[in-house]
Amino acid sequence: MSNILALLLTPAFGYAILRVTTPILFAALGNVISSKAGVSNIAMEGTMLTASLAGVLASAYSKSALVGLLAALFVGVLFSAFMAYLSLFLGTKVIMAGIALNLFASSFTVYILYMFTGQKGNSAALASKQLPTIHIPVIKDIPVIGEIFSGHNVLVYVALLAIVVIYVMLNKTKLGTHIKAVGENPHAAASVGISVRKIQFVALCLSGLLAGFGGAFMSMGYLSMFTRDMVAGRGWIAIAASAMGRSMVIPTTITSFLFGIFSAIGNVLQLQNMPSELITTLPYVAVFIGIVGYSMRKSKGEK
Amino acid sequence: MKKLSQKTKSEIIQIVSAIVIALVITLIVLFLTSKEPIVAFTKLVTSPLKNMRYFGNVIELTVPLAFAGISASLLFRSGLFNMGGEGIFYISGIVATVVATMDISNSFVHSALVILAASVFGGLIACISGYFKAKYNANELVTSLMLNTILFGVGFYILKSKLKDMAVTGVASAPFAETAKLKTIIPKTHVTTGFLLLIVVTAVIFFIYKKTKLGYTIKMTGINKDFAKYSGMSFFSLTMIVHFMSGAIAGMGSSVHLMSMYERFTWSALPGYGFDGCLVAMLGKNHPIGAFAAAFFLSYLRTGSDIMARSTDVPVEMVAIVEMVLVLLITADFITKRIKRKKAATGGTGNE
Repeated sequence: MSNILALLLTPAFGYAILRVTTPILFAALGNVISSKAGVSNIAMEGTMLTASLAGVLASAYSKSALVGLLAALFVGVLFSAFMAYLSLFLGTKVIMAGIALNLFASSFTVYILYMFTGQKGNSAALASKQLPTIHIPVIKDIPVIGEIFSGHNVLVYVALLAIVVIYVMLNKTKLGTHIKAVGENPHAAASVGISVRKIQFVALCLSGLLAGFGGAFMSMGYLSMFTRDMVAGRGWIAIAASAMGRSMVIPTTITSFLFGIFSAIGNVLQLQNMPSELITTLPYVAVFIGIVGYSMRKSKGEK
Repeated sequence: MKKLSQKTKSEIIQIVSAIVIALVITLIVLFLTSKEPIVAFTKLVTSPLKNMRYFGNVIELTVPLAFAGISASLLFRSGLFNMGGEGIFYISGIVATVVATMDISNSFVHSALVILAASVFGGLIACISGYFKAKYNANELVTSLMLNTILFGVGFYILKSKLKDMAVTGVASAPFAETAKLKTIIPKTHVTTGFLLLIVVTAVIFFIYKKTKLGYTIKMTGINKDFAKYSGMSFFSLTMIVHFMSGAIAGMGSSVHLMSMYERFTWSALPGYGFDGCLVAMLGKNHPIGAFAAAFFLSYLRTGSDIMARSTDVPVEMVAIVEMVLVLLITADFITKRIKRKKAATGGTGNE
C-alpha cells in the first residue's frame, strides 16, 4: 500500500494526470460550447475516433505532423457539421444522430484503416508522425514543477490554452453572447434577429474542432498510432464532465481533471499486482459516482 | 383511422426509399473501393438466400438483435436514452453461464431457469440507471454507458477468477449442460426455441403498446415528459417499470443467444449486441414489430456482408456505411415531410 502511495506522490504522477486529462478536457470543452447553444454534442466519442484516424493517415502520407493535425481538425469539424446538418436541417433528433454516428465511427474507422493498411487492429504499418513535445525554458529546470509541467506534447498546452480561449469566447465576444442567447431562449434570440440554426451549426462545428484536437492527441501524442476504438469511452467521460460542470468552462475543467486523476490512478494501479479487469473500471466508477452524486445534490437544491 | 393509415403509408414510402438510397450508396462505395464491385454487391444482397445454412445464420443473428432492439425501443419510446443493453448482455450472460453449468436433470426446467435468472438479473441491473434517473434525474445515457464498462470489468473478472475452465486454453467457462441448451427447431442450423420465445416477447410488447394503459403512458411520456403525471402514473414508477422490462428483455436475449449458439461462455470483450440494439430500435421506429423486422434486415445485411468479405476484397465493416445511411435516413423526417409538402402543393388533402 505504501509503495502505491509513494508512486502517486511522484512528479511523474502529476505529469501523467496532465497527459491523461488532455483528451477528456478537449472533448469536455467542446461539449460545453454545444451545450451552451442548446444542442449537446454527444458524438464526441465518434468524432475523436474519426479525427484520430485522419491524423494518422494524413501525417503518414504527407510526412508532416502538422498536416496530420490539420486533417484531424478538418475531419472533426466535418463530422460535426454532418451531424449538425442532419439534426438542424433534416430533422433527426440530435441525440439519435449522435448515438448513430458514434456507433458508425467505430466500424467506419476500421473499414478505412483496412482500406489503407490491410490491417484491422492498428496502424502500426504506417509511418505516421507524432506531434512534437515541448520543453518549456526556465520552467523545465525547476525541480518537481518542471517535471510535471514541461516536456509534454504540444497539444497538452493547447488544451490548457483552450480553457482560456473558450472562456473568453463565451463571455467576452459577440459569438459567445449569441451562443448563450440561443441556448437559453431560442425564441427570444430569434426575435432579435439571431439565426438560431446558424449559431447552433457554428457551435456544433466548434465542438467538432475541439474533438479533432482530442483525436489528434490520442493518435499523435498519447500513442503514436491509431488503434481500434482507441478513444475508449473518453468522449463519454467528457460529456459527464461537462454535465457535472453545468456546461461552465471552469467547473467543467475541474471535473475533467478529477476524472483524469482517477484514470491516472487506474494506470498506476494496473502496474501493481491487482486484477486489471477491475482496476480499468476505476475512472468509469468515478464518473458514475460523480454524476449520481451531482444529480442528488442538484435535485435536493431544487426542492 | 384514415389519418393513421396515411401515416403508415408515408412511413413505408420512407423506409423503402431509405433502403433504395442505402443500396445505391453501397454500390457507389463498392465501385470506388473494390476491384470486383458487381460480384461483391451480388454476394451482399443474394448470398443469404443461397442455402438453408446461410438463411439459418440470418435467423440466428436476428434473435439477439431483435431482443436488444426491443429492449432499447422500450426506453427510447419513453424518451429515455439509455444504452445500457450492452453491459446487461454481458453480465446476464455471466449469470446464465453460472446457472447453465449447474446440474439440473429436467431439461425444460433447466433452460427456463437459465433464461429466468438472466432476465431478472438484467432487469435489476437496468434499474440502477433507472433509479437514479427517476429519483434524481441523473443523465441515464452517461450512467448507462459507464455501467457498460464497469459491468464488463466485473463480469470478465468473475469469468477469469471463478468460472474459467482450467482444462482449456484461452478464457472460457465450463461447458453448458446439455439440459440448459435450447432445442433446435430447424435442423442443421442453430435456430432454436429461443426464436419462438422472441416471437412471443414481440407479441406481448405489441399487445402492451396497443391495448394497455402502460403502453399508452409510455408513448405519451416519450412525446411529453410530463404526461406520466397526468395519467395517474408517476414518472418514477414509469421509469422503473420501463427500465426493468428493458433490462429483462436484454438479459433474456443474452441467455437465449448463448444457449442457442454456444458451448461455453467465451466473450472476452463486450459483444456489441446492446449497441446494435439501439440501431435496431431506431430503424424499427421504436416499435416491437418494427424492431423485429429491422433486426431481420440488419442480420440479413450482416450475414450477406460476412459472406461477401470471405470471398472478395471488401472488408465486413463496409456494412457500417449501409447501416448508418439507413439509420440516418429513417430517423430523419425529411422524406415524410417532403411527401406531405408535395401533397399540400398538389392540393391533396390526405384523405383520399
